[in-house]
Amino acid sequence: MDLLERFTRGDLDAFEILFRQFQAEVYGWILRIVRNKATAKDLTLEAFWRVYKARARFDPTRPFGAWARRIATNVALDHLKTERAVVDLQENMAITNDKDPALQAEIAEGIQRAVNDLPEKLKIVAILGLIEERPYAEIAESLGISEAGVKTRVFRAVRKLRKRLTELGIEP
Amino acid sequence: MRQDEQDRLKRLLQKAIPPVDDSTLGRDLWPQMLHRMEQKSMEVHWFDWTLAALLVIWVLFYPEGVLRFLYHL
Repeated sequence: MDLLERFTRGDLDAFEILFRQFQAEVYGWILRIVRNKATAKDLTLEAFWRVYKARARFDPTRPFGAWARRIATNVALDHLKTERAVVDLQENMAITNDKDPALQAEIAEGIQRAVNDLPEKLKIVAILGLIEERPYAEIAESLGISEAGVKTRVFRAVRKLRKRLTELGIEP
Repeated sequence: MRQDEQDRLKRLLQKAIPPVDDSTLGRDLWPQMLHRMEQKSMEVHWFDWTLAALLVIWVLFYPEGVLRFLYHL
């Protein structure tokens, strides 16, 4: 019997094979959204638990990786919603300038605040589309929306970011 | 909004929040996954707790109902 069919019937060995095959991909995807390694590992386990619970609803003729990534995106989105998670400031403080590092750090903090203030649905496309530069088709598939929907959300995110940055005195 | 404006904002964001450059997992999470599955499968669903609570309330407020129930079994 096919591996995916065995998985849908609750075969733990099949699930182990799929887990080992896709854990790195799912972890990498979640890490790009939550930007914290420990959280990403925990959410990877949660995502695969949901994958296992939903195994009976999986269509074995469709690609497992895309389905797992969609579930992983929902897990990461739930995390952003419930925890009001913020992009880790210290880990991401990247703008440095020998002339005035304090000012540059302040600008970086302002930008991160602006991203964190976005609604979760816009924050996720801003992170994946603008910062990580993932293809819109990939984002659309993982969010379960159309590419046009992603473009609209990116447009709205950019507009909100520009407005917020201007309010914070940062010229976008 | 022009494309160059969006690109400028993108560059600004990437300076403040750099893209993830190392997304390698490092170690196998399967042992942790098995542990998680064991924990989750032992968890009692909230619906079961609610049913148990309703049963206790029923027995407390209507004890003779237990005898009637047993009689009809």
